[in-house]
Amino acid sequence: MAYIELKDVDYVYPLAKEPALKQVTASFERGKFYGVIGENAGGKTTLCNLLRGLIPHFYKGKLKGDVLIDGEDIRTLNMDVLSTQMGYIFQNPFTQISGVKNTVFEEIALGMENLGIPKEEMIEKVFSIAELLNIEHLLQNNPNALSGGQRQKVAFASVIAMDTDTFVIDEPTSQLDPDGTAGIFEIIHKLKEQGKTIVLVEHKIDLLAEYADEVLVLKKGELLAKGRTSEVLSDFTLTGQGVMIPHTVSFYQEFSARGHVFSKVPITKSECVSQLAGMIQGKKGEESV
Amino acid sequence: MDNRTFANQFLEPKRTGNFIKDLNPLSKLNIFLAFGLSALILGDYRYGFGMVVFLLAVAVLAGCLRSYLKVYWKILLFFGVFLFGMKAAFSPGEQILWQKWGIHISVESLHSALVLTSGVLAFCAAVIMFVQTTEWSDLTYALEQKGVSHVTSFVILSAFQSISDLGVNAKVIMESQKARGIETEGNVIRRIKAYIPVMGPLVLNAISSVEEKSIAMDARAFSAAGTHTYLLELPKVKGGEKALVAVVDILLVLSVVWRVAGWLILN
Repeated sequence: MAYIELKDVDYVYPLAKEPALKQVTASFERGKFYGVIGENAGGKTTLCNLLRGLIPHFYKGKLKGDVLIDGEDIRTLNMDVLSTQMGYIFQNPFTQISGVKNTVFEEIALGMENLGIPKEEMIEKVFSIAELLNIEHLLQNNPNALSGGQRQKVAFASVIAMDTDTFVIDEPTSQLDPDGTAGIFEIIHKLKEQGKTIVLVEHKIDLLAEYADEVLVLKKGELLAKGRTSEVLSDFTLTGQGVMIPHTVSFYQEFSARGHVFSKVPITKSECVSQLAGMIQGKKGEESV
Repeated sequence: MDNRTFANQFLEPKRTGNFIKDLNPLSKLNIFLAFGLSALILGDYRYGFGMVVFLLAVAVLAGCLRSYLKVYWKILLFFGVFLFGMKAAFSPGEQILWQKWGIHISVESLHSALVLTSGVLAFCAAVIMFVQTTEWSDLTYALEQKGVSHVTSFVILSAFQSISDLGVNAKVIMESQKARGIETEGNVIRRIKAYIPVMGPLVLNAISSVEEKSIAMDARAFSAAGTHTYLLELPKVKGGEKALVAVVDILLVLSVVWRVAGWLILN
C-alpha cells in the first residue's frame, strides 16, 4: 500500500490565477528515495509543501483532489502530528535557522526539545549528527553568524536529529560546494538505508541518478513522468521538456552516435564504467583474435 | 573548550559564576524594575542620580560596565540633555534666573528638570542593566517555567531577534543600493533620502522571512503536543534570592506609601 497518495490534485495559491499543480496523480512508498526534477516554477516546491501538509494548513488556496498520508486525508491531519512524522528542509538557509538559539549545538537540539527527548539523549544525538555532517567544528558557534552553506548544513542537521520517518527536502545543496553536496547525498543515502522515505527536489541530476529509486518530472505544474530513475532519465523524449540528463547518458549518446553499442543506457557512473570496461575487453578480444 | 566539555555544561543548570547574572531572570526583572520605578515614584533627584551611580556600581559587579556604558551614554545624551534642557527652559517658575526668547529658566524649573531627568535616567539605567545581565532565552525559559505558553515565549524571543535581523538586512540593502550608485553617505538629509527606498524591500523581506521562519519552526515540531524538554536549564531560585526580591518589593511599596502620604499631607 502506498504511504503517500496524490489523486488528481490541483492546487492554486491564494491570489494566484494559474494553478501551481495540475491533475497530479502519484504515489510514494515507504522506504524509497524519490527525486523531483523539472524547470523553475514547475511546481516542485509546491509538491513539497503539499506532502508536508503546509498546503492546505498553512497556505490556504484552492486544493482539489485527494492527498492521503498513510490513508488519511491531509485536510484532516493535524500539523502537530505531521511535524513529528515528516521532516522538512527547504531552500532558503537564512530563514531555516530559528534565530533564538545562541549556539549551533542548541540549534540542532531545538527540534528534539520540542519532541520532549531527554537531555542526555539529545546531547549524544547532536554529537552523532554533527559528526555525520562534519560540522563538529561549528557546534559552539552562533548560528546567526554562519555562512549560507553552513546554515544549510545546520538546518539539515536539526531536522535529521528529529528522526522522522519521512524527509521532504527542497534543494538542500543550493548553497553548498561540491564536497558539501556529496556529503549531503551520502547522508540522504544513509537515511534511505535506515528505511526512511525521502522526497528530494534537486537539480544535480548526476547525484539523483546515483541515489534515487524513482524520479518525478514536473513542468508547469503537471507531472510529466514518474518512474524508476533508470527509465525516466533514459527517456530522451523528456530532454526536450527541459529535463537534464546525467553525464553518463550524454556520454552514451555521444558514443552511440559514433556507432558504439551499449547493452543499456548507463545511468550511474558504475554502470557506465562496467559497460565501457566490457566494451574495451570485447575490443581487446577481437584484436587478439 | 572542546565540544564534550561544552556539552557537559548543559547537564548542569546554567551558571556564569557572577551573582548578579546568575539571579533568575524574573527576579532580575523584578528587582531592576523596582529600582527604576522607585526613582520615578520618589521624585527626588538625589535619589534618582544616586540610583544611576548605584547601577553603575552594579554594572561593575556584573562585569558588564563596558557594554552597559556603550548603550547608556546614548540615553544619557538624548534623554538626559534633551529632557533637562526642555524642562528647565519651559517649566513655569517664579524665581527666574534667566529669560530670553520665551525661555524661562527658574529655580523651580531647574528643580523639576532635575527630578524628571534623574527619574528617567535611573529608570532607563535599570532597564538597560536588566538587558545587559539577562539573555532573552533565559527570560523566556523562566517565563515558560511560570506557565507562559511556548508560543508566547517564542514570539518574545523572535521579536527581539527580528530587530537585529532588520538591522542586518537594512545594512545589506544599503550596500546593494550603494553598489547601484545611490548616494548613501553624507549629511543627515542625504542619509534620510537614501533610507526611504530601503524601507520597501526591508519590510517585504521581513514579512516573507516571518512566513518562512514559521514554516521552519513547524519543521522543528514547534507546536508538537506533549511535554517539551530543555537542553539549557536555569538553577532553581534559592531562598536568599526570594528574600532579596521580597525586600526590594517591600521597599518599592514603602516608597509608594511615602509618596502618597507626602502628597496627602501637602494637600
